[in-house]
Parts: sequence; C-alpha cells; structure tokens
Amino acid sequence: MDGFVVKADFLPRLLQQLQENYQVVGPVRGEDDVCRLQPLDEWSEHQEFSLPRISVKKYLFPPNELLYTTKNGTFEPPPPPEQMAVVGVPSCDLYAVDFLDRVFADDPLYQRRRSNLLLVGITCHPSEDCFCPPRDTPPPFDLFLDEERVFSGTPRGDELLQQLGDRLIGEVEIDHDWTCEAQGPPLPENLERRWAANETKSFWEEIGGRCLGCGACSAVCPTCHCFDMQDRIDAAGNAVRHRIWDNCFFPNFALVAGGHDFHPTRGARFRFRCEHKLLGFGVFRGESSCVGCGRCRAACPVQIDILEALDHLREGAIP
Amino acid sequence: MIRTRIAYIRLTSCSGCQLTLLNCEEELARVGELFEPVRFEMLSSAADDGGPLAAVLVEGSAARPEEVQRLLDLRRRSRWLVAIGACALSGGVNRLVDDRQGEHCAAVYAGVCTGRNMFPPQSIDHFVAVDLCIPGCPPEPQEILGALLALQRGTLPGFLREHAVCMECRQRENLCLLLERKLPCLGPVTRGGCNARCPSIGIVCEGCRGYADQPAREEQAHLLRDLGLSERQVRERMGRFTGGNHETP
Repeated sequence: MDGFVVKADFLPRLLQQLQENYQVVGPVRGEDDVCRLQPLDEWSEHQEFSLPRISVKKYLFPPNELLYTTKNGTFEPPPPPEQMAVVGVPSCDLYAVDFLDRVFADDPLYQRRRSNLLLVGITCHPSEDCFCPPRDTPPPFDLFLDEERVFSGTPRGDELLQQLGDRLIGEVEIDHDWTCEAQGPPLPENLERRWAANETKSFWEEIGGRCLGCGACSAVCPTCHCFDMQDRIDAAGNAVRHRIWDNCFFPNFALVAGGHDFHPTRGARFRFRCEHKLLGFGVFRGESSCVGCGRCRAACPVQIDILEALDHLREGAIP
Repeated sequence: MIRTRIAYIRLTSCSGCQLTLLNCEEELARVGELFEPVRFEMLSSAADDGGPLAAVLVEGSAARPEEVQRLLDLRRRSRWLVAIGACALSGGVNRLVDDRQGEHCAAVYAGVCTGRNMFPPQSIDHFVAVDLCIPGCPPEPQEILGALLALQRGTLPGFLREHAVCMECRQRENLCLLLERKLPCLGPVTRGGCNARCPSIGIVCEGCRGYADQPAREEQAHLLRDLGLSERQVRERMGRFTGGNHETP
C-alpha cells in the first residue's frame, strides 16, 4: 500500500480520470436533504462526509437483480454489469463490502459486479448514530482519501495514481488509525454464552411489542444479505427470475411448508436479526457483521436500537 | 392457439380497477391474443356463453343479493377466482357507509334505488372461496397483468408481496415522512408491491393496498396518537381501505 500527499486539485482531476473508464457515483444530497449514492458529473456535487441512505451494497447486490430469462427453453443470462466507480465511501461501508465479498465468494453474479467496481474510500466524519467497532486492519479499497493524502490499496489504485502522478506531491507513510473516532462499545465477552442464556427472556418480546415489523432496519443495513427468488412470466411467455432483497421482519421469512413459522412473533424476529448481526451463522459464527454505521438506529420509526440489545446482553448474567 | 377463457365482473365499485387494466394500452393486444373475454362488459359486447372459465376476476364489494348470486354462479363455472382491489378484498371505501344507508340511497337515487334491497357492503370472501387477492385502490397494473400471465400458464403468481410498504420505500432511499416529517404515514402496516408510489413523491401512504401480512396495528395506532391524531382520526385513517373503520385497531 502506497500513500501520497496530493495537490489541491487532485479530487476533481481524479473524477475526470475515472469518468474516462467508469460510470462514477458518489454521495449527493438531494433537495429533500437526503443523501444518496448517485451518478456524479462534477466534483462540486459530491458530499464529502455524508453517509448515503443505502450503502454501496445496492450496486453489488441490487434490491431486484435479474438472474436469468428463459427463451424457448434456453437460459439467457443478464447483460454484464458496467464498470463502476464509487467515490467517497466511508470505512464502515468498506468493511461491509469486505464482509459481503466473503458471503458471496462463490456467487458469480456478485463477483462479476465486484470485479467491475472500483472503490474510493474516504475518512469518515461520524454522525451521532455511529458506533464503529475497533479495527486494526484496513478495509478493502482501490484508493482511500484521507484529508490531503491518498492511499492506494490495489494495482488498479496504483495505476490511477500513476496516471495522476503530476497531482501528487510526495510519498508519505501510512499511519492511519482504522478505528473510527466514533468508537462504540466493544462486544460483550462470552457473547455466545450470554446469548444462549437470553433465549427465553422477555426482553425480546418487550422490543417486539414496540416493533412495527416494517423491516426498515434491515433494508438500510450495509451487510444484510438475505434474499428471495421471484419468478414472473413476461408477455412473450418467457419465465423471468429475479433475486430480491428479503427481510427477516417479514412474516413469511421463516415460514415453511406445512405452516410452521420459526419466528412467529416480532420479538423472535428481532432476536433473530440480532443473532445474525452480532453472532453470525455458519462459517461466520463468532464474527459480528455489524459495522456500526448506525443506519438501523436512525431508520427505525419507533427508536429500536441494536445497542439496547447489546447492553442487555452485557448486563445479563452468565450461567 | 386456444385462448384462456376469463370473465371480469364488477359488483359495488367504481370501475377503477378494470380501467387500470384497460389502460395498459401497450399490453392489451397481447392480452387479447392470450385471453378470451367471455364476459367483460367494459371490454367486449359479446354475450356470455355460460360455459366453463379458467378464471373470473371480481372487482367490488357485495352489497345486494343479486351480486351474491352472480358471484356464486361464476364461482361454480371457474377454476380460479381472483379478487381485485380494496372493495373486493375488504369492502374498501364502501365500508365507510353509516347505518343510514337506506335513507341516503333514497335521497340520491330516488325511485331508481330505495336502498331496501341492500346490505352493508362485504368483502367477497364472505360468500365464495378466493384463490388470489390483488390489492390496491386501484391495483398496480403490472400486478394485474402479471397475475393474468401466470393464470394463463395454469398457475397462481408468486410475486405478489405481502410485506409493508416501508421496505420498498427504504429501497428507494426516500425521506421517511413518518419519522422525519412527523406525518401520519401508514407505510409500516400497509401491504407493499406499489414500489412506495405515494411516499416517493412526498405523499403519505394512505393505506390503499390494505394491511400487510401480520400488521402491527396497535403499534401503528399508538404512533399516530403520538403525532397528535385523535382516537377517531386514527380509526378513520387506518380503516379507510381496510373495512375496519367501525372498530378501534
């Protein structure tokens, strides 16, 4: 990884350079004051330190992704994704990409999008909702902008910096502290045992009693990745299959044939979400996928807070 | 190619649902190739031949004995029965009628309708088995067309969503009208599939698609009260399209 001090006009020049080969998107604040990732024409549109409503996940794992169309009995794959560069990605969202990269390691559609995606990270200016976990290794990025410095993390990033060599002043050592200044409370020790001990506690049902089951928390999460398949017949008679975002707050999420529901109450659904976020499943067991961006806390219409669940677990007795 | 035989009937309703289908001008020619409208008064003047049907689509709520009779007749003739729109699903806005229904009828339709042969509007599942529900006031055109195409292939569609509007609203990265504008949006309890049509242009969800699966009605009512709505306003807002304005959620 290389680091350089940059000249004042580095950022607009970087944008120009990227626009030659990529569709460039970045955080832009709309008239409604909502920040979203959207196509960027001018550097001046870019909101340097705003967390978009939905992270870069929407380009890697789109909410409604065409998997294939059948035509006369043969499968037609979706067209290849375009080359895309996302600028101004805060480190929490980059760590989320790292997690998704591993979840979808064997998913050809994800990997095709991922290899066509260039990530330009940026030093975060935390909001009151953030609670990042401590970090000692850098997240994945091609370039990372840290005030007047730029770091390169991949050969693609190196190449870009070579092309912009006249905008670099001098090489610097990379001493960046990857732990965000909005550091949240660490995960409680013995989380697995605390979790098991809390299974039947009324805490979850109390939260469930407030929860609307709207699914906003999961919809805005940069690491939630549950999906469903949806088939349609188009007017020409072809079957079209899409992969759509699912949500563990939907009543049919854990409903199986025969009518059994593994999560019959909103409390059980909230507990499941916390388990998936904080403890993980399968090969990811023991790894929290919560990157601390705080989107779920900000999006909840009834102020349900994942930190409340963590506090509860921390304070609970261990058997 | 043998066309799939369908019927479309309207009970007590405004015809808005069938207009939604008939306004799909780009797709109508294809629909005409695939389906034979055995009985579809707004589309075809052909006389009903009384034969068996693959599907009957029913718009409107039942409010008169002869409507129930029509419903029962077509149910016997048809493999599938599809309820279309809020009126068929829950009684819809027709349920807003008060207990002076007969008096109103006599005043408005003097001579034509006395209101004596009417009963409070009911959702059609009170009288017949319903195989498929397409919600909305009116429904989304693509949901009606998609359902027809699935029925034509001999199956019920699997794409109709039953979760809250919030999911699609969040996916569209909208400003949350409930949370950030403190407006009485019904998104959290209303059935999605409309791609958050109204909140995306700054209008609160009025709940026209009826309740989502397992709606948190009490929690939503609590939220609306916190926003300053009276008990009656909460009841009217949540009951407008759900047939439930007479009861507290």
